[in-house]
Amino acid sequence: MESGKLSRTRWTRGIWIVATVTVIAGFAVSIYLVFISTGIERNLGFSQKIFYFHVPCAWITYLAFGIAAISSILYLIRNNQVWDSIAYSSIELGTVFTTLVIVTGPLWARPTWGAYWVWDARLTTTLILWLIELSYLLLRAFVEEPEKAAKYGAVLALLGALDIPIIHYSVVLWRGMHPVVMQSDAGGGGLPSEFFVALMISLATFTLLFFLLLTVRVRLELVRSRLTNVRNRIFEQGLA
Amino acid sequence: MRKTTALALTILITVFVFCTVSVAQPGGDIVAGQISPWRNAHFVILAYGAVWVGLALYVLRLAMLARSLRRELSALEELASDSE
Repeated sequence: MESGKLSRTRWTRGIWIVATVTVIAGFAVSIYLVFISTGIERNLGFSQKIFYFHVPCAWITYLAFGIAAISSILYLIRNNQVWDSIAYSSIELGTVFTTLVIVTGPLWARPTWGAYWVWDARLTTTLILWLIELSYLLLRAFVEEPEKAAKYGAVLALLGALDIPIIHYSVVLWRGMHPVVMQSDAGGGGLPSEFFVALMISLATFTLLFFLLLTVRVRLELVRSRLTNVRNRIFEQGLA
Repeated sequence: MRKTTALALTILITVFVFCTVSVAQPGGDIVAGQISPWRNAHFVILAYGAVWVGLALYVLRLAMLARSLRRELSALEELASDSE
């Protein structure tokens, strides 16, 4: 029994080391491709390099909210703490990446459009998503009863998830300044092959980093809620 | 540990600010497609720096959370051993 547990721990540790090394190597390769191997885009100039970090951050925003929405549905159906921990952790991590999207976007917009911010449909709907994420985190922090906080949070996560398709299709529905990033009908998403490869490697690296951080965060959240339960039980017994 | 992390972050932010200031052009920002493509490099450095600093801060937050949980666990263990 003990040796089985030990070998499982070794396996987990091994997977962790491999994943961490892959993320570091992935970022090194991405930086090489973005700044050395890939050329400078003719129209957008050097500032186009922001694309390779901006787009993956936006993708992680979608992914994080998607995971949170599915976990919230499962939490509401099964009432299992694990699903709530996944939803909470995913939205917390998603908030970090949405913040990075909102920071890197204007830094690219300034040299491209001549303004840091325009009230374009995609920018506005992304800002709304960020506000939803912040309100979710505030709700979780201020509702005192953990079960109520989890239920309200799950409902808010589901409502917030409705914003994801709106963000994605906003560039098609309301033609604003934000370009369509990838054209699904064109080979390589309509990008030159060297740009496409650099973007894909960056996307894969960010996705792996997201899952690594999400695993750590979920574990910590589960430990935190168990510790809270144990502490409450000790105090209840002490008071009884 | 906390001092080392704070020092590393300070160095990271200082290098980042220095790089940004050193590549920023006195002529101001220009719209892409004009003159040298390198003129807008400070935006790229700012954007990449923001991503690295943001991720570093989040990892630091996770480390701090793990530390506080470890402390809470040892406090509970002490409480349990006292009651025995």
